[in-house]
Parts: sequence; structure tokens; C-alpha cells
Amino acid sequence: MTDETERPARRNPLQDVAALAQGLRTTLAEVMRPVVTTQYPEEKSPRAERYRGRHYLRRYDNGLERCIGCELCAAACPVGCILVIAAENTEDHRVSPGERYAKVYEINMLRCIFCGYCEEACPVQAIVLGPEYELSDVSRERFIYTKDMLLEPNPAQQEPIVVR
Amino acid sequence: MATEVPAFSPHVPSTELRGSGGLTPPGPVLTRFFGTPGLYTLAVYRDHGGYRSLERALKEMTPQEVHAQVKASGLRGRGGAGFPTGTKWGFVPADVPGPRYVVVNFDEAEPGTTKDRYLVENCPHQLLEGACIAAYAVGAHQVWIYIRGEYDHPYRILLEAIEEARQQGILGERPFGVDYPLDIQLYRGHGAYICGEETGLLESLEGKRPQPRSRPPFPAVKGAWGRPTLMNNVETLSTLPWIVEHGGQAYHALGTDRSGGTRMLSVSGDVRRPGVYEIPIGVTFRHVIMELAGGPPPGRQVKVFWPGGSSAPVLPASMLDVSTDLDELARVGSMGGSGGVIVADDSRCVVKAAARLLRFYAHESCGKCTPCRVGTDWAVRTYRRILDGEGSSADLQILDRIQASLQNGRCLCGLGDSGGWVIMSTMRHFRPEYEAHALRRQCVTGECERQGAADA
Amino acid sequence: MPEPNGAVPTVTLTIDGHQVTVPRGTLIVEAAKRVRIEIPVFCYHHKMDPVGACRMCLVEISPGPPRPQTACTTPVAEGMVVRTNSPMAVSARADILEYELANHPLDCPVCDKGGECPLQDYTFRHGYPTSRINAPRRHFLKPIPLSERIALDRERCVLCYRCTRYYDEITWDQELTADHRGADSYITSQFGQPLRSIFSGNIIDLCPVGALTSRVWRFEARPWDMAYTGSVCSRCAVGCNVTLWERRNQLVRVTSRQNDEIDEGWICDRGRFEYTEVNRPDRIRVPQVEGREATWDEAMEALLDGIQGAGHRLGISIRRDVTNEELFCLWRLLQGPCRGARVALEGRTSLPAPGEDTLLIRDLDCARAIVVVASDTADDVPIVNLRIKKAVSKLGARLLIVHPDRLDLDRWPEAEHIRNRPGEAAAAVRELAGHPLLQEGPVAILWGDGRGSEDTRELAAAVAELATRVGGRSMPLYRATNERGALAAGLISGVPDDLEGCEAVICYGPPAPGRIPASARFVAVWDLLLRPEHGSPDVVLPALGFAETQGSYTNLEGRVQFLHPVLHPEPPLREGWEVLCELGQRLKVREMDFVGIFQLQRAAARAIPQFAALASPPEPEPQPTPVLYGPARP
Repeated sequence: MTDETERPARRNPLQDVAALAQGLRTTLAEVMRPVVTTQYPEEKSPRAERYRGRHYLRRYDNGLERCIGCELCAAACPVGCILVIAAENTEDHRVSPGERYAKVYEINMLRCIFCGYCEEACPVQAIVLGPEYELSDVSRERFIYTKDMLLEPNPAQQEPIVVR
Repeated sequence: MATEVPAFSPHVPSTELRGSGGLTPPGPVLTRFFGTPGLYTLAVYRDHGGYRSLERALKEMTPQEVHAQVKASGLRGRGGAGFPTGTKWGFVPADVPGPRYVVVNFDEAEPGTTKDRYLVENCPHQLLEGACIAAYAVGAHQVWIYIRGEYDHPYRILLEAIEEARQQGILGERPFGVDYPLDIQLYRGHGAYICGEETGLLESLEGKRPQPRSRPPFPAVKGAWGRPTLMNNVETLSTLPWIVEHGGQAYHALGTDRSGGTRMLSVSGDVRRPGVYEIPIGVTFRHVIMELAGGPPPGRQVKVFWPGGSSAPVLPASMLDVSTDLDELARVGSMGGSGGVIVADDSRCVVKAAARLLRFYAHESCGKCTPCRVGTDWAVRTYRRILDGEGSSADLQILDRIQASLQNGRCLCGLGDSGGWVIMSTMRHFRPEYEAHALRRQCVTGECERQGAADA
Repeated sequence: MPEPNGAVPTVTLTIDGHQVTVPRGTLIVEAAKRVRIEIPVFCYHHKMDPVGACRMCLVEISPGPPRPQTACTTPVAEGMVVRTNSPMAVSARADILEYELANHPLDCPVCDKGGECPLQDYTFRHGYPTSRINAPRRHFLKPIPLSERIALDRERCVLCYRCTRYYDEITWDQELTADHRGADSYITSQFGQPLRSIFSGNIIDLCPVGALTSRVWRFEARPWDMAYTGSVCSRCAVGCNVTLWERRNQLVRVTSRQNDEIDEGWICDRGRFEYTEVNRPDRIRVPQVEGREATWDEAMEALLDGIQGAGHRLGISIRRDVTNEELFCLWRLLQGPCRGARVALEGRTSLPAPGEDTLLIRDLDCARAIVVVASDTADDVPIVNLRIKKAVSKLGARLLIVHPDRLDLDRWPEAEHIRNRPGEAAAAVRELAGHPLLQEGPVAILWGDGRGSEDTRELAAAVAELATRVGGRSMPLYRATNERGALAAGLISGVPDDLEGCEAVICYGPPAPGRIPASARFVAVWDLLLRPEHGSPDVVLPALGFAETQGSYTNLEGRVQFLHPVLHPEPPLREGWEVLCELGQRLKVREMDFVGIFQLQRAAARAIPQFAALASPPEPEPQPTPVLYGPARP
């Protein structure tokens, strides 16, 4: 810093105060604005209606599963993360309305790219991608989502929701 | 069925069996003796010259000469297709060893057609004689008469006639002393329209499900039980005694150039004198409907008529002057068919009539080939929608498409084509009635409002 | 069929601009396959008579009437011009497809045919792009079990009548028929009785839609999940070619694979449905010694200890589907350290080794007369039975049966059945020489052992004598899958051995005499499963099933056919020949240290003349076509 020859001319101290005030004004104005930061673990930002998060297997109102075990989701899946093994409904053991149901339904969430093709391929709107995105876990095995994890709760067996 | 047959030996004509008598005026060939009491018995038939033709054929003519006479007669099949009989006989191969058969198609199930029944009830021996002549001409010794299952009275009459002929030795090892064994067997159908189709009939005769066979091979080459088989209609065969007696040329002279002889027309529907009439081919339908059958009821006009049974495409009243000549009918887009003239007057709704016919075809479809099985059924459902007042222009398009895909070789046999023709011809001539029904939900004639469309 | 003088007259025609020359009498639909043009068919099947029922194959033919005609019933003619893609033909076929779909339910997602369904494929390739079907569809109760193994779905049925015609024409069983008529027609079994024919499973392959499906395989997998190989059936000595289907290392399905030399595309229900053993969860997967799990090393040591010094009191029971390679290893052992041991083959006949120049299965097509002696062919050699039926009903051969009981071949009205007393077939055969039915040759004589009731040595002599006198050839009808291979290796002779008196028994597969001999003090079982008849063995070794093992079978006509495993056995499961080679090495047999099966096969081909075919390595099989339809349009 030897050449301080180009020092600015000495300014009016009032100008400094004005600059300070201007800066403070911006700060103070921000204080009055609404807060945009969400406190993530405690607060969740809203999801778009068509957000593609964790999968769910839906049921009909009478509690029967929608899934018919047709494996079209598995066929449509570009990464091959879905495994379906079908079985036949019997009179004593009825799982879905038609002849066929999914005995095994597994999704490997580590592989899934959440493209939603499974949802599009499904002929009975059984599989849907829901809004949930917090899918981290502590072991690889726990990323294999089995059918009982994917199925939505049975409305026929649920406690009625009491509206106050 | 055989258990119902009474014992016939010694032969006494049953008192309860009677021919239906000649109700309509006798014609020149087939019905020339109709009205004679007891014509159905062998004795009366022989009094009128019966079985002389067979005797003459067996004793004096070679099979080739009989064939030549039939060719000269210009006789065309009366079952529906109108195929030249002489040509058909020529298809039966002469050099195949082993048995061959003549099958008489007496499965007269075409709506509006009753001529064969009329012929057999009045004069069964004429048919037997004709069938024997045909058997002689093609070298067969066995004749099967396939009779419609519902025809109980004609069945009994034929049974008796055959028994009489056997007792007289006309059927047997040496008819008229000639060493040419002949036998006739009756086979009762089981009540399906498709049994009238020639290959369907053969399947039924063999004891199988009556479903038409794919052709070729034609029955003339590979028919009943895989043997060469000649199949003709009752009327066609009944004509043969006259042709042998008077010569083919004489028969040909009765009709027109391309369609020789006379035809039986069964006129029914809205006419004052429905009945079976024998007419020389070539007279107009106006003559048949207005003169012979007496025209429509008072105050009514002919609206539409089926010139050859329900399968033939309809013709509107404006075409009443069309001749009964088969080629002439083909030229105007219809066919001679089985000779059932059905007349409808101007109080009839054509859409409803077509719907009812389609229901018949759908019910009688054998279910073997796809277009007929599904197409007729789909047409019935479409008609029902139209008649229920739920039709739309889409339904008319569907009917149009169905009729096109039922015709022209799409189906295995003619039944599908017939269903298609009903739709096609009624839509061609009466499009406004269809549109009124489908688009404006109203019946032009008011018949559907009066009676309700539900019974169509 | 070639002309009597050997020349096949040909016809040249044009299909969509492609010139094709085919034998006279070929149908247009077959000629089109030669130029890879797909003419869709439902009712037509190349092994059955054409009927022209479905009308799916409509094409335009000139010269001819100006209307579409069925390609499946029209034979080719010289100079014929066929157009499959003219507007008339295209719209005619699309109309038919629309009709087929008018009542077809939209349950492809749950249909086992979905993915390999001709109706789906044709709809994509030949149908209208949009549907105009606006009416409710027909409904039936479904699925209806036709038998324990086959389910019928009438809603999906397009009424092509392939199944009923198969039952009429091919098997003569007539168990299926159509009921009602018109749009209400449906397929049903005769009098509502369950299907009993051993050939029933083929209707599943025949059905061009999902109307007839397997109940054994029901909903196991979609076609695109599965890998498949073309292999050979292990159930009997005929050696039908099959396609094995695998999903997740489980054998999920067996279907036919056409080989006109042997099976013509049919397989019996045993081959089609009895494959589930290999998937059983209780399968033996680990060697056991005295009831506890052991290593292979321990198990082999225990086995060697057990058979030590048994000499001629060692009995070896081998399973019916033992491979040629395993037989060769056993042969080496019996030549060396196990000399004198007795060998029994499970499920075998008492027929001796075949003579020279035996009949081939395909020769039945040329036979003018067929004599069946002392064998219920439908039970012993089912697919040969179908070949006999074809020769008799379609190719005009005459049929003569010598058997004490009524057989299914008696359904042929012109068959002559000579009912001999059991055990006296040889005498009956000796009287046949001047029989009127055998005047015209060639004569094919098929003979069995009467399920043990006949003296086969005497019968063999009688059959050989008859063959010379009428100028025919004969075929002994072996039952065990590789019985002919075992006879060739000299491991067994014409007299079955029941191993009674053996003190040490190695039992590969189910015990051959039906049970372990009471005299056995040491028993080693080498099988997929522990069966009740095994008793309580000292050593248990896990074995491989036919879908996992490498190797080959010799079928009853002496043809060597190679297996193509579709499953990959996981250790400690080992190939049978590996186990036998290790046993040989432990017994200090030289030349049993093969590094791979090919080396073993070459050694076997050198050592045993009948195994010469083993030296030529398995041909790379062409990709099997799981459903036999014409190739898609390129």
C-alpha cells in the first residue's frame, strides 16, 4: 500500500451517516418482510399436487387392494426396481377384486428414479407416487420396500375419524 | 323318432294323413294334378302317369341322356342360389369307385317359404320319383331326404309314400325289373336354419354339429361321409319327372331364356290371398302379388317385398314390375332365392322388420365363423338401440360397416351374407326411415309407436 | 408328402410382390411364411386340417372372384397373385379383428396369455387403431376348471375350435365340444366331465387367446419375466423337445418345442405339468451323513466307507432320467473298482437291447401298416401314440393291435385288435405273417413288454421274424428316459434286477425296485428329495433335476439329444457327472479327472460306440419359438 496517492478526497461526514442509514434501512426493511426460511425438520415446505415421492399401493373403499399383480409397473420401470409375484384369489382368501393379486410387491428405493412410469402403466390406479420424500435410512436392506410398507391402511379396519 | 312310426305292413293308407289339397290354382308342371283327391297315394299318382318317367329313364335312357335332358331344360336350383342343375350334376365325378349319394334338401326353414312342404304334402311321390331319377343320372343307389325337424306332417306323408313305393317294388333291388337298386331314407333335422345350408346339412346328416364346411371340396366331390354327393332342393327334384316325360326343351320353353320352366312362389304377408303359386318364370311380381295373391288389403299400398325369401335383398314397391327371372332379379340387386315372396304394406316399419329378421339370423347363426357369429349379434344390439330411441348416426355407421363385413366371402356360408343383405337392401331403399328412427326417434309409419318396438 | 417317384412338383406364385416357389398343395398361409409375410390366423394350425372358421386370414387373390378369400384353406396355384396388403384385404381382416374383440374382455393385465398372445399382436398389427365397440360384452362365469390342470375362460374365447379339433383329429379323445350356437356358443367338455386325456395340456399351447390356461402355472410369471432354453423332456423314452421357462431360478413352465422328427410340437401332460419337484422348498441342498448336514468331503468319505469291499454285494439303483454322461462315469466305475456291482434302472421295461436298424419315429409317417404289440402306447410312449394316430387317420396307414385289453387306439373304427392272453403275445405275433392288413408295406412294428407280462426274449424273436417276413422294421418301446443309453453302456441287460441281496446300496433317484432291499446294511441316497421309499439312509447327497443338469439322453430310437439347463444350481449343488468323477478319483480310477463335460463327452464317444454322437458338441440351438405362429411382417 505504498501508493496511496489516489486517496479519495475527504468526504462530508454526513455522507457517511447517510450511507449507514441507507444500509440500516435495507436491514430494517428485511426485518419487516415475511420470513421465507422453513425450519426443515420441524416444518415442511408444501409439495406440488403431482409431486413424485414415495410410492403407495391403494385400496378400494371396501378394503380390497387395487393391485392385481399384473406386473405392468415392473415392465414399465426403466430401472427395474419393482418386483411383483402374483397369486390367485380364492373364495377364502380374497385380496383384490379379480382373479389375481400381488403376493409379493417390492420396490427397491435405492434404484427408483421416481419417474412415475409405474403409475402411468398401472391399469387399476393401484400404485401412486405420494408426496413423501424423506426416505433416508441406515441400511441398504431397509430400502427394499415390501408390500405391507407400501399398502395404504385399510379403511375398513381403521378407527373412524371423529371430527370435532 | 323311429319308434313313432306305425307298422306299415300290409300297407293301408292311414286315414288321418291327408295331403293339404290344392288350395291354389293348378299350374302347368309341378302342380298340374293338385286338387285331385288322394294324390298323395301311390295309386292315384300312378293313375296320373306317376313313375312312368322313372321307368322310362331306367329302361330306355342312359344316365347321360337324363343328364342331357336336364341340361337342356335350363332348370336352375330352387333352393336359393339358382345354380344350373345340369351343371351341378356334372360336378359329380363319374370315375370315383365306391358309394355315392343323392341328398334331398327338405330343410325348408327360410322365413316366408313353404313351397316344398306344399309339394310334398300334396304329391310326395313326385319328389321320390324325381330323386330316383337324379340318383340314376349320377350313379347313386341311396337317396337321403333330410327333412326339417318341425315338419311332422310331411314327414309322416313321406314315410308312408316311401313304404308304399317299397311295397310296390319301385324302391328296392330291382325297380321296374331293372337291375338298379334304389333306396330312400328319411332323416329328420333337429331344428336349425343352418341345416338348410348344404354342407351344414351334411354335417347334421352325419350326426355332427351342423356347421358349414369350408369349400372346396364341394359336396359333389366330397360330401356325405366323404363320398361324392348330389344335393338338390325338393322343388328341383320334383320337376324331373315332367322334364323326363316331356323333354328338356319343352320345360325350357315355359320360362325365359336364362331361367327355364316354372317356379313355385309362396306369397305371404300383406296380401289378400296368400298361398303357393306355380308361375312360368318371367311374369312380373306385379302379376304375382296383385293378380294371383289379390294385392294388399283394402286401403293399403304395397311398400316393400322380399322376392325370394327373407334372405333375398328387399325391393321397394317401385320395382313391382321386375320379372321373376333370376337374372333380372340379380340385375336389380336381389335374387330369386327360395321363392318366398313376402309382401309388406305401407303400415309396416321397415326398420323393425329388418331388426326382426336380423334377430332371426343372429339366433340361427351356427357360431362357426366370426363375422356371422358376432356381426349378426352386434347388428341386433344396434337395431335394439335404434328402436329403443337411443340411436345415433354412429349406429347407422355401425350397421353400414356390419353389412359390408358380412357380405362377399367374409363368411363361411351364405347365412352371414343374408343378414348383410337385409341391412344393406333396407338401408339402400329406406334410408329416410332409418334416419327418422335413429336421429329423430320417430317411426315414419307409426307402427313402432302403436305396437311398441320391444317385440322387434 | 413327396410324390411316389420322389419328385415334388412345385408351384410359383407371387405374394405381395415376392415370388415364392413351394410344393404343390401348399396353402397360401404357409407359402407366405416362406417370404416372412404374416397372415394372421386363429383357427388355422399347421398340424391340423384347415377349416376356415375364423376368417382372419382373408387375402385378395387374383385371378379369382373380386372378394377376399381365406388364405388358410386355399392351396397355391401356378401364377397366382396374392395380395395381403390391398385395401380390401386389410379392411376385411381389420373387420374380423374388431368382431373378435367385440366380446373379448379387457383383462389382458391379469391374463396369463398377455404378452405372448396372438390376439394382442394381431390387434396391434392388423386391427383398427380405435375401437367402436359400444355395446356391453358377453359374460360367463370364469374361470372354469376343465381339469386339475387346465382352466377355461369363455369370455376370452374367440371360438377358433382349435381345441375341439385337436381333441377330434389328433388325440381322438373328443373330450371338448362346443355348446349352444351363434353368439352364445361356448366351449365345454363333453357332458361337463373333467378332461382325463394325457394329451390335454397341448390345448394351452394351441389356444390363440387366454381362454385355455394352465392352472399349474397360473399367475406364476409374465412371459417377459422369463428366460427360456430349448431342452429335452425327461419323463419318458420318447425324448420330446420342450422349452423350459425360468423365473428367479425357478422352473415355472414347460411348453412344447416342435421337432418333426419326434414330437411334431405335442407333448404329454406328464412332461408339461410334472416339473415342480425341482422347485420344492424341501429339496435336499446339502449333503448329509447320518442325518446331519455335512460337507461333500465328509459325505464322500462316508460313502466310500459304506461301499468298501462290497464287491458284488454292491447295488446301484439309477433314476430313469440318468444322463449318458453319468452312465459313462458309472460304466468306468463298474469296469474298475466297482466291478461286479449290480445295477438297476428305475421305471424300465424288461425289453432287451435293440437289434440293428430299428425304426425311427418319423418312419411311422411312411408306414402303410402299423402293428402295436403288448404296449398301451398312450401310457408307455404317449407322443408316439399321437404319431400312430396321425399315420392312421391322416396318412392312411392300417392299424393292427395285439394286446389283451381295450386301448385308446381302438377308437379307430377300422383298427383290428387281436386280443391275446397275457403272456402269449409272441404266439399271436407269429400268426400275423399272412395277415391281410400287412400285405402292403412298409410295415412298422412297435412292441412293448406288456408291463412285464410278456416273455420279451421270445417276443423279440417273434417280432424279428415277423419283420423279416412282411418286410417291416420294428421299434422296442422303452419306458425309462435313458433306458436305451443304459442298455448301450451295458449297465443293464434284458432282465430287470431288484437288487435283493445287496448289502450296500447307492440309490440315485427313487429306488428302482420300488423300495430299498431289506438286505442293505448301508444305504446312500442321491436325489432331489428324500422320499418315503428311501427309508433312513446313512448318506444323503443332493442331486440335480433335468432342468439344471448338463448332459444328454438317448431316446427310444437311439437318438442322442442334449439338455440345455435353464436353472443354475447354487453350490453346494453339483452336477451328477462331477460327483461320479470325484468318486472315481477317490477310488483311484484313472482317466476320470475331466476338466469339463466336453472332455468327458469326447471320452464317452470313444469308449462306447452308441455314444459317438456325444463327441459332436451340442449345436447352438436356434431360439425356440414359444408359440408357433408365422413370423411378424419384417
